[in-house]
Amino acid sequence: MRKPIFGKAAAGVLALLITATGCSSNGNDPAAAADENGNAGTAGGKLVVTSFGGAIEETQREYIKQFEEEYNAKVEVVTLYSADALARIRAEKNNPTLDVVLFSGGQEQIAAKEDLIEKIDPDQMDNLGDLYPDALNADGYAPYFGYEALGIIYNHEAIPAAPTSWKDLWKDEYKGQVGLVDISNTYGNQFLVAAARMNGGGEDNIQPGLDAIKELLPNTAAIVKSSPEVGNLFAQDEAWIAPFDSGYAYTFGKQGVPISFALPEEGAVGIYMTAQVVKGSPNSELARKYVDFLLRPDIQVKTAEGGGYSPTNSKTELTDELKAILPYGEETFNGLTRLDLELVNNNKAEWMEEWSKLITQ
Amino acid sequence: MLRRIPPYWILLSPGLLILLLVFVVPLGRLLVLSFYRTDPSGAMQAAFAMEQYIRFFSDPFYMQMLWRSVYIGIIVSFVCLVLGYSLAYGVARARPERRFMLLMLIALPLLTSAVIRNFGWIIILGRKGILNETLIAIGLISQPLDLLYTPAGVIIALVHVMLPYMVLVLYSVLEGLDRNLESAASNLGASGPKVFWFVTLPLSMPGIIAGTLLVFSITLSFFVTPSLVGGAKVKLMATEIYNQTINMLNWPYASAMGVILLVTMLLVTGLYKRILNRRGPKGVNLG
Amino acid sequence: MKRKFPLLTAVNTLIYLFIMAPLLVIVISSFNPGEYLVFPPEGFSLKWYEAVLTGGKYTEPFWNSIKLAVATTAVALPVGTMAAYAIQRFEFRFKQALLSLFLSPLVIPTLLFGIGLLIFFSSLGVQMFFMRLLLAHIVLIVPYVIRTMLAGFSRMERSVEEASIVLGASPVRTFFLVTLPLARPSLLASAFLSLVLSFDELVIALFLTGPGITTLPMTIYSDIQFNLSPSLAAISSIIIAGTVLVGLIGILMTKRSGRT
Repeated sequence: MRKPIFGKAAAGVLALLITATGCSSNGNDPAAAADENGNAGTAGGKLVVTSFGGAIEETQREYIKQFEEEYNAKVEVVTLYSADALARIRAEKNNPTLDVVLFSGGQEQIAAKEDLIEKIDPDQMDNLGDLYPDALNADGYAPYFGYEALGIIYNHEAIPAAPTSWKDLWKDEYKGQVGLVDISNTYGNQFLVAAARMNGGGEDNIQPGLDAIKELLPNTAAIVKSSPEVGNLFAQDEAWIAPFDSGYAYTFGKQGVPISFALPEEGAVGIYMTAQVVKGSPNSELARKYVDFLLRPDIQVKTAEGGGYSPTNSKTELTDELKAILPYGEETFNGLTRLDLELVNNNKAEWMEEWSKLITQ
Repeated sequence: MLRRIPPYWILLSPGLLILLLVFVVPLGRLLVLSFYRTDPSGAMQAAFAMEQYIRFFSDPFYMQMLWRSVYIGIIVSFVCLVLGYSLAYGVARARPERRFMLLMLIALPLLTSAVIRNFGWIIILGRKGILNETLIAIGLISQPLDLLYTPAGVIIALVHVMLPYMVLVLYSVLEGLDRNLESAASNLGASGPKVFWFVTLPLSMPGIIAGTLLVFSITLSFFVTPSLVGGAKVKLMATEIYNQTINMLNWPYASAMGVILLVTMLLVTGLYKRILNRRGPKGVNLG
Repeated sequence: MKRKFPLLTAVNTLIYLFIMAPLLVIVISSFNPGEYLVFPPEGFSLKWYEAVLTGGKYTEPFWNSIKLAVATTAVALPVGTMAAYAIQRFEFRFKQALLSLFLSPLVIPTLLFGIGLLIFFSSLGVQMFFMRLLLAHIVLIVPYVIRTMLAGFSRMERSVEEASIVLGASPVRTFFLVTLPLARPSLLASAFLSLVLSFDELVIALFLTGPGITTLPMTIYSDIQFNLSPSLAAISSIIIAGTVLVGLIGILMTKRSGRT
């Protein structure tokens, strides 16, 4: 009496199995998969680009609309931070779903080394000639479309006189008021290098930087991992001063947090934004146009207003108001400390271990 | 032909099929990765080497991290069990129409994004936070406690978010308990605590085991809350796996850490079940 | 007959307070009129609620998350229940090993799982973003269902099922008419966990989605990166209020069904 019933149940399960396998075999066929989603990778005029999210995303949607109209294209946006985007294109190597990725932490060096992004043909770019020469990529990949400066952000209500040097962070009067960023974050990492350089070390000798941080630890209110947490520290009055970047100081400041930005006299560290064409992108032609589009002066004005990215095109004219807040001009651009990305990326893992051991104590 | 297949295989097959296809195969790939070599920037070279595992076990820093993860997991499971049992018992004893509401209240933390919840914790646990200000105001402490960015803070926040899991599992068992057994025991003269200890508790053993194992497993692999509340200083396996995967791009090492975490979980839960089976009520088979 | 538990009530009130505390902070901050999240708020304003509800930015992600949660539960609940029943009621070889396998997604950090799946799907060329997200969620949720259902089945008297079979009901009939109704609390708990967890899942979604499918947690996550806007607190408060509302409706419904 048992058997027939289980037979019935089995038949039902079998039906389920068939549906399940049906789905997966469907999935084996990229064309069918793409059709089903209506965003076939092969269809012309479609582009998938990444965005950093947040305030800048609104600006981005605005200029993407402009791009879509001018180039009769359809652009889809996926929100991914630089590190996530690099992990994603690495996992999707040979079968990318993204066409253009944005990086702000020197990830393009690793992506280039692992052959995940495409070089661009200068002859097909309209705006390369107008860029600051140093904004171009020496290896032939896409250039920087914007930059920020890593300097000192501070609460101008608690600290009326602007800090002038990195050394100010070590001052006794800021005991318990310094916000630090973990070196898993680009800004934290670059500050560590800056601290090493300040004390006679550098990308190839990080120890002086670690020693300096060790002395800074008693002054710190917290070591946080991500950018919104830095904002929180300031908004909640847990920290007054932190080594951080001009773009965030700009966006936080726009929201009414009492934050100002100061360039340290030793030189602020440059943080550079690039948009890269993903290797194997089926729409590389359009992707390259999009990268070129980001270099246009009118678009750079928008990214400066929306996200606080300083322009790299010499023809970009910012309003006086923006010029006062953001780093601006070729001289400023060239004056920023530029780190050796290859050394930084190769040594990062080792620094990470040393750093972790230092701060967990 | 189908009739010869034992019924349990039929019941298990859809789950197994999905699991094999979407879990075992992709993670098998990661297991293979864990034997690869990496260069300093994270680029992988195919190999069959124990390099990643040796790196982990030869460095006390990582061994401590593993131990920290396990003991935080145990503390969180235990605190959740005590608090969760009390809540689940209360819900099971509440008037039926109220139960659903109470369960919803308990589950609320799961419904608020971890990032936003973390904002609440900063306000409460910070040095100038509500908790410290209150404790100082009523004179319990004179110096603010360091809770944020410490293991203590991580435990508090983890208990908060793990509690719903515990309560839901315990409630599903407690609700179905035959109330007559408790009444019978007390009618026979057993005191309240005795009834609880000798009748209710043993009967709810399946829920206790399931709940603690569930909470322990999730705690070990949970990374959003520890990462936000713990900051950079409280390093746990799950947060370090994130760091190695995304920031260091060292996937072989991250995979090896994942394997180590899984094996640790199996060992700890196996040990736990063995202890309970030796001492607990007979016939409870929870696997 | 009805006994009171004053001590239990007092303790539980404190625990409820602990559960509510961070959520209350969020709800209170959502009324802040300023441009960024701060506590205590500097005034009272509903402008962030207006921004969230009329902005439309969160509507589509919200429905995507709901769709995903419902689809996940629809598959994971029966699949997990069947597996749990098999494990609880039958003796067979490799049972323990199978159970460990079923539960192992709980302990693999979701990020690692996400990367593994992304490599896997990418090498197969699977670009059905909703489908791959759904499959991943099912794998993540089934262990929760199995854990909860195992506990539920194990405390059930087997004799009831046996009686039903002795009385002539088939095993399948018995399962649907006797076993499942008895396991109702566990089924509800599983379904609820499944809906909630799938609704709130972020890490897998970040890696497996593509253009067009953004979930609510992803939107919140991307917003918070540059923004300390109280609108995020407002969304959370709306979700909290919605949950409480569903709870109240639940009370009304049980009252009504209790009467009939």
